[in-house]
Amino acid sequence: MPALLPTENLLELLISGVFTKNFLLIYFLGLCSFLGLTKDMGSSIGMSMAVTFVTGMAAVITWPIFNFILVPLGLEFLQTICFILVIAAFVQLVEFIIRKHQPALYRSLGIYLPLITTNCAVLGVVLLNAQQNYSYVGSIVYGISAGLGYGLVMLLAAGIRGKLLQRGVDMFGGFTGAFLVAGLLSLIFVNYFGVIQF
Amino acid sequence: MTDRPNLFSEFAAGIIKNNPVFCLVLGICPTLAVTTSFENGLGMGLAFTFVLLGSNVFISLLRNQTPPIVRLPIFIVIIATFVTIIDIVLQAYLPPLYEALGIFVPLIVVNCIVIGRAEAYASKNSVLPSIADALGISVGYILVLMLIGGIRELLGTGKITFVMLWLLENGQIGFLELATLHIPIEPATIMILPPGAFFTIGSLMFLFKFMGKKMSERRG
Amino acid sequence: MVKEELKYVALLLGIIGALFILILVLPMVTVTTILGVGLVVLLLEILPFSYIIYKENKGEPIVNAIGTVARLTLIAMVAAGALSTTYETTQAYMAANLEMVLPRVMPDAATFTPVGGEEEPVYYEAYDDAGNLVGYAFFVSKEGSQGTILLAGAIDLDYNVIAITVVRHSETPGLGAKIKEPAFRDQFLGLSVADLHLSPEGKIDAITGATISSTAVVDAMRTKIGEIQTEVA
Repeated sequence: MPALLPTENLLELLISGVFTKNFLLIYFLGLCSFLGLTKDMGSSIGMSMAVTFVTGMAAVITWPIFNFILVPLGLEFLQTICFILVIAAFVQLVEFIIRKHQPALYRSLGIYLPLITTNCAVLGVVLLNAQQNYSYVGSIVYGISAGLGYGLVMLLAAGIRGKLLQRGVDMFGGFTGAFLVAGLLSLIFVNYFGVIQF
Repeated sequence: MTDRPNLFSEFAAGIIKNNPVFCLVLGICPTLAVTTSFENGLGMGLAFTFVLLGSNVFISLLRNQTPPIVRLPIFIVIIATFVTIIDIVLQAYLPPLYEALGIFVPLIVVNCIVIGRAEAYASKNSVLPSIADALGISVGYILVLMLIGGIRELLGTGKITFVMLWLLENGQIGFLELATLHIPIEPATIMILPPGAFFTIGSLMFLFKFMGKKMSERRG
Repeated sequence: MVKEELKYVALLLGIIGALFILILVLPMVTVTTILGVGLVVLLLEILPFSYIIYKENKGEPIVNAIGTVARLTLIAMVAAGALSTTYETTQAYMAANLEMVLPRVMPDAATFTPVGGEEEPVYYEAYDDAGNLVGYAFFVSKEGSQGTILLAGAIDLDYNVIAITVVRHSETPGLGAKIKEPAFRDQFLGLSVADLHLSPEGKIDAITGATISSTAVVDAMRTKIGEIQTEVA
């Protein structure tokens, strides 16, 4: 069983989550929300914060389930079904609590929560954590860094797309433009952060 | 069978009018991530077909037995079951494909197309139309995956290998190589890497929209 | 508003219930396990669900709540059963199938005897038709740049490499995937542990642009052969 305390280099894990293994641009996870929400800076910020929170918390919850229940019982093959149910239950619970106790926060963040259950970034984080056998602390750090990397690209793309629209540059129309922006950003990430092996 | 033309139109709608990638813009993540080759595109498409067909049939069968209050958990359990089945089956019978697709097989569970069809179609229609719908959407999806995979493989490695799923000589099911096509250009590795995926789908989507516009202009 | 909140609580309960069943059903499916677990969950869920449905739809018979719980329980039970059965079948197939690779790496050998290890053998002793020990075959897996690389290999009695095959991998086509090609694999033939390093330290030239994948293969081979040497001695 992987250890509770970090056995891996946490800084390296953080950098890899944000840059070299960026969820949106390198792993292609969470692209639906990327296409839909980067038209608008406000919703990009809201979604990024919500995703970072959920990926972090999903790592916190699923690690014990995987390592204390599924692995000892030899039920690793049930990981997908367990993880998605736990995430769905957790997201519903958070939405419920926020709406009841923090109406202001709910108005700015809560509306993005239902979208997160079907956001592959969250399930992707927990599946990768299980696959890579990270320690408990390591998997939480990886969860948060994946969310941060997602947020970084969301904000970059929202900024670029906003500027393009402002200048009236919309020659390719919505989705095509979004893909080209993503492609160019991805080119930067691939080259500068050493994804190509040397 | 008065139903037949109806079923066929449901099937055909999935390929062009409701094409999951170009028109509904759903299920983009695996479309880009696993399409490094023609073979992987086809494999992902077939895995997806199994899940969509299975979940559509069962959700449609159970549509009158599903209390609205527990609708979502039931959908998730059904979809996740089929995803897990195809995941462990691939691992045993097609290990090379299992390794190539990686976590994108379990991720079919959050593929917006599957849950979208469950919610929008299968939970409201009877079994036969649901099957037609699942097949149509799947064929549309497979075509897109093979197209993008083929383009990236061709430009990225300078050759493309056409395959199909077939019973091999050793009695196992696997990919049978049909033909390999070489093109005399210097391969651009960038097409295999992530940016190539974005550029390919961006250009294709532009073409698809452009052709659609031209067609509707001609008709109008 | 009460109505709305209750819905969420019910949803949560349903999800947790379904999860509970799935976790508890062990891969060894027997009708008794499934029924037993189903019964436990039924008892656990019936009260809260009855309460919720009673509160939400005043006047509706309590039987509806039982129906909801029963359906959810049933679906989860069927799902668990289907999954466990598939898993058992494929596991048996996989164990038999992986060993079918062995004759490919050591065509001269007739029989293979697994040695050591609790779940997976550390290596296999290869015997020829006459029953003489001719070498050792093994499987070894290691993380590459994109995922796990599984190798099958064979060594002679002097621990020199006589075969290496990539059983499965998910390296980048055109780069890391070249570990499959003879140009890379043939470099290993005849080498002993001391030479199994990337050049200039050892005798293996890395694939251009795919150092991580090359290193993974070389390291996996060196570690495994070293392990076999100590095990045999």
